[in-house]
Amino acid sequence: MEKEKPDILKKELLDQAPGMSNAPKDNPFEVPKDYFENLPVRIQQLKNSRTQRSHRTIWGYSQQKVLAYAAALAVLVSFGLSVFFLTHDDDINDLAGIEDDYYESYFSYIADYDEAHYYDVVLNEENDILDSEDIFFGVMWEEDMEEDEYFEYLLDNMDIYPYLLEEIADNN
Amino acid sequence: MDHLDDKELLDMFKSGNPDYAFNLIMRKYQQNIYWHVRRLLIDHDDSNDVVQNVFLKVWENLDDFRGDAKMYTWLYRIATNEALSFLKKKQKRFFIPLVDVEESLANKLESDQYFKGDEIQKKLQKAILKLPEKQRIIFNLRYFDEMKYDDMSEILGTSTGALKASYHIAAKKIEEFLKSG
Repeated sequence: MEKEKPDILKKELLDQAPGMSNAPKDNPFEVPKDYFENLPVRIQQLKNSRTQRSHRTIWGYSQQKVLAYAAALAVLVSFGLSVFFLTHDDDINDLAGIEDDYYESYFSYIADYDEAHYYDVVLNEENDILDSEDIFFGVMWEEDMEEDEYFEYLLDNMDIYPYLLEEIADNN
Repeated sequence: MDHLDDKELLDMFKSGNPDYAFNLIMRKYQQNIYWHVRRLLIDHDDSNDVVQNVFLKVWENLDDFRGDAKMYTWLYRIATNEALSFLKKKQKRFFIPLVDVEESLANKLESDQYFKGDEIQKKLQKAILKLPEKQRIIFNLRYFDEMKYDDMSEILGTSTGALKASYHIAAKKIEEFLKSG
């Protein structure tokens, strides 16, 4: 630290407040014994303890933060859903209606489902496919299959549900 | 290592030996900073607390100090701010009006076991305590620390012209106070 030149300081004071030129400049304060010897050590200790404390509290701090964010997110989601349901009430009901109808039909078909009907379809209406290599109800007809063998095979392997769903969709 | 200048200390701090560099910086400037704070707060224990905080702040921020300013003006600025905010906190905590803060500082002079000055020195200190806060800082920096106006300007963010005028006014007030008996 570069100090002001003493003669400049002296002249300045003489010009501005001559009565101050003889005022004391000595430091009138004292410090406890060895204060300046120990001060850097104490500050280093304080610095280290602060660093350790901040390391120790990192998890606690994060945990608190995570909980706070989770709580805030929960509130936001709840609020958002409330607003959504309040403002989209009609749409939801419409959607619910469609869903209900669809499942009603589906379960009704399942309830009335008669496997024989589909075997009849195979036997009476689609006889020609027995001569083809087409896929019927997901099962491939093979030329060397006997009719009975094919029906046995159908019973074990065919998946009628896609066709059921297709039929429901057509009826709706 | 006492011969290291501020730039070398800063380089040492940034290039792998921060604890040692910080220790050297503290040893180099602790007395200047302490006495600057002590003249503002009078009480040793308060000054000790503030000086510790000053150097902890220095440690936390030294990495960002780019060396555009002089290190000791930067340290003085932190110390001045810390000392003033300490006084403000104290004032708020105890609901003390500003005039009473000065009064209580003057009373501390009377009771301070670490004040060794004679009557004239006590009177000078009391006169300084009667100055407005900023004038008091300016007077102390110029009169006791013999600091150049350019450096004071860096610390206080005030033009050198305004600093000269403030010092002049402060010195006149103190002169009057000393004359008054």
